[in-house]
Amino acid sequence: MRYKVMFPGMKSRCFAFLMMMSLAVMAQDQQAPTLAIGDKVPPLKYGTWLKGSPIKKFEKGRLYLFEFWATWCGPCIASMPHLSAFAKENKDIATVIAVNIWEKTGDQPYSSSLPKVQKFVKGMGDKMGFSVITDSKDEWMGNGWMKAAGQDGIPCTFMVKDSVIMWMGHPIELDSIVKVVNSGSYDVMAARKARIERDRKSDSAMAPFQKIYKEYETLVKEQKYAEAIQLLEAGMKEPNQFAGTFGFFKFQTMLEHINEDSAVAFAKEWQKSKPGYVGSAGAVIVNRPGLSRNTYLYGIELIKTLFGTGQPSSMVYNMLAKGYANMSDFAAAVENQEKSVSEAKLALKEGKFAGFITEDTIKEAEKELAEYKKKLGAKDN
Amino acid sequence: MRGVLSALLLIVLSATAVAQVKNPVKWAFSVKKVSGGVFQIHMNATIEQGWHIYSQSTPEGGPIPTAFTFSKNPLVTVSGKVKEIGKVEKHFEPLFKVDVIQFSDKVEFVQLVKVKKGVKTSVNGLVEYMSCNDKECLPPKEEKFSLSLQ
Repeated sequence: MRYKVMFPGMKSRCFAFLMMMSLAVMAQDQQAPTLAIGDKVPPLKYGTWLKGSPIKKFEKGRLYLFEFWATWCGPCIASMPHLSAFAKENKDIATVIAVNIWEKTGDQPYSSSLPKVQKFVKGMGDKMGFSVITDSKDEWMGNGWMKAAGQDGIPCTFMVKDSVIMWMGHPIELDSIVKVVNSGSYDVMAARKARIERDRKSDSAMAPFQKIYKEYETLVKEQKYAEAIQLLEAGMKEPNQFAGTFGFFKFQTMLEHINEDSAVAFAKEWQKSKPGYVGSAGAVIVNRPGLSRNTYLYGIELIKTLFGTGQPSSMVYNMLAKGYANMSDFAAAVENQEKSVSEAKLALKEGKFAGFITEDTIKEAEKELAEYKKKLGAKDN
Repeated sequence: MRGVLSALLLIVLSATAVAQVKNPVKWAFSVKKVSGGVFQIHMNATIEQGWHIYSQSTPEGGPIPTAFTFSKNPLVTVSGKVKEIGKVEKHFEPLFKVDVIQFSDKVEFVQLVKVKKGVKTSVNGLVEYMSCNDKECLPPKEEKFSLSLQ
């Protein structure tokens, strides 16, 4: 990845940008999915039915939830207690089947993973309050279901009703989606159309970016930086919404590979046209050691514009402290990091930015503060 | 830093949900000559915000550790183990009942290799790694590399 940090204020651009990155990757690595919502469910082929009674056929009107997981997947394990509660509450209308896939067996046949999975399931006990199966020896469930549907992350749930895939997604959405599907007004073909249309739209919107980004990536790999910058400049001129993104790449490439002063001169001129990426450009500067004082001051100036844009102020102070520390102004680094810590504590108390500011992130910020203080002391002595 | 990164997690998640196919870890491989016949192989991972990869020393029973394999080459001696240079995040994970040792943001793996002075050859190998964020994991993937030593 060529970027470090994206700041909202440019949310839509960031969003588009990140999506593009993923698509650029998709173009290289992945084939288009052959299985979608609304399709008939592929055959169920498993290795061992480890827990619960094997199903003979799909009962009419009943929901079957295939929950894909692996023993090495923390988020999968974390979702199991809730899934057990769900299975219990909905036992009259739904059957939950946890499908173990993608276990690591190296050179051994896939079925050699069975003892490990068995032990795991036994250890989980009631926390796996549903049926559990392992994948077949040819890993049909992992390939013929998950990969065929373009699903590459677990946990992932396939919801099947009357032998048709009604929905696929993260189990976190399960409760709400079951209500929708069972409400009677769920139109699976409309959902399918919407999903395909959405993918198609994002594909065609991203095509110009994808093309340039791929070439750019190759040029950087080959250390042809001047050519990479020429390419980005051409991209900036094209009538699309990615001019800001290419400008940001240009700045980063210049800073990292060409010349710091010309990068900053470019950034100053470029920022006049309000392309966004203010915080991103600032973040690239303050996070990079070994730059000149003037460059850091410019980065700090950019970061300061983030106050009042909805970013947690503790994070803005944290970035400022980093910039000051990199320019060896440890007094200012300590001052800003102290504010970062106190603002973070306040936010935690008020329950703001829940999940983003946590005890852990505060601990980390305090550690950084201690480091800056140590360096300040060393400098004074 | 981690805070800033996680604040953006939501945007990342919604974006990847659309595109579905994820590739949160980028690898870069390079060679650094130390002296006559001694080289450092640098295998650098850049990890998207919110994602992690796992140390080679992650104990059995947790996430799958990152592992390096160097192809046999009679002209090259692989010397010692692969060093990990990065911010180690270690915590006991009650889900797995083992310590999880992970890296975020970036980590550098370095392997020392030796060749007979004046010999030109190459080192080939692969890294196997898996990655997770707070919501999901991607299965182990392999990334191959081939670097010339001279």
